Amino acid sequence: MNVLLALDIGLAALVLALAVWTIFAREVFAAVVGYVAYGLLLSIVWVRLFAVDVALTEAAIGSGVTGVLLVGAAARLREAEKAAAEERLSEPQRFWAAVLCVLVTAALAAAVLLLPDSAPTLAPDASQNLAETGLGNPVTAVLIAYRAFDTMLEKVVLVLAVVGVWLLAPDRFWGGAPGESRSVQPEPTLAFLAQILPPLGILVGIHVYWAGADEPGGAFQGGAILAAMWMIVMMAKLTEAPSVSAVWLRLALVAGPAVFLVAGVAGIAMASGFFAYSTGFAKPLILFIEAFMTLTIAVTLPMLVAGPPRWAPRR
Amino acid sequence: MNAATLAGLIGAALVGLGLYGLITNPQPLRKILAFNLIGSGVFLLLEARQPDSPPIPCRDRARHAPSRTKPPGNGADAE
Repeated sequence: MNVLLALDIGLAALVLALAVWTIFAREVFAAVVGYVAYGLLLSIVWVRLFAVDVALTEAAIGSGVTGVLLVGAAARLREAEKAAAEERLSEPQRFWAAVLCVLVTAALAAAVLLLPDSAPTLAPDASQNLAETGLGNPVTAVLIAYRAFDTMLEKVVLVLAVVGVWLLAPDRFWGGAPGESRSVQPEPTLAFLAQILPPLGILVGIHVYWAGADEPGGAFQGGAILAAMWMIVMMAKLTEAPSVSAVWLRLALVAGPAVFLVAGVAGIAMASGFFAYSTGFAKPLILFIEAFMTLTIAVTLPMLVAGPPRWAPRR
Repeated sequence: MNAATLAGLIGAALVGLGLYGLITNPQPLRKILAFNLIGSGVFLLLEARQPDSPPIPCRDRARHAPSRTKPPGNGADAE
């Protein structure tokens, strides 16, 4: 057994242990914290599988943003969860659930071990046509060129999620700002972090977006880092969340999908069809679209975390 | 056993664990957590390829994973 395999098995044991903790922890809050740590370890697993793009996304979205959302939800649901916890399943029911789950796991594990030698793959095709897009990272090529329409719709889903969160606002707060009570003083440690980290974080975020054309990275990961910087500043109460009726906010929310869609429709006239890019001009166009998508993601994620408006609009 | 097969096996275990949590935990937030575990488990299952399948070729993959696709003789040229 070589060192790398030993490390892999240790990593696998850690991931599984945290997954067990997430399911069986007594407190909901403890389970959420376990889930965040689980997400970070899982991103190391993805690095080991040479899927750095997936690792970045898992760390930023799967662990980071989802973690913040879940911690907030756990704090708000504290009372309701106690009542729900009374309705536990009986002992035999849980036993049979466990039997079912062990069977499912065994069947899946057998399938993994019995996989055919060569899996069908589109990877050679993806890298063969890479030169036409002018990109160096096949993952970015799949996302923005080969499967552009899917990626555009994904961004639309994000905007719809923000609309859904805003719809939870009572009528009197509509058009106002989300966020916590404003009278509370910021915690000094958090405020210090929120002053030191963002200048670096913004640079890293823009770099990850820019480097995504040729290296692991891209609009989603870069945008998520930028979003995290804004979230830290808002959490430290150094700045307030903007009103949901602010024009610039709404423009930023739709900029990504809108620019993507316009570029896609322009493909009918300028290139060979819907969401086709003209040869030789593909890379600048892709980076242009990605710039606006980065902006949209950087604004969307903090707005999801900030929640529905809780303050009456200013007159 | 290589890393990809191991990942597939973790994925199988995660799907089972998540399914158990989804069935037995009465609180909605715990069900969401369990469902997320199933999701990441399925994702890992998709990665379980057998050792012989080709790695995804990439123009500059050599820089990311030198052990896999380094063409012979290139190292000398670089120096």
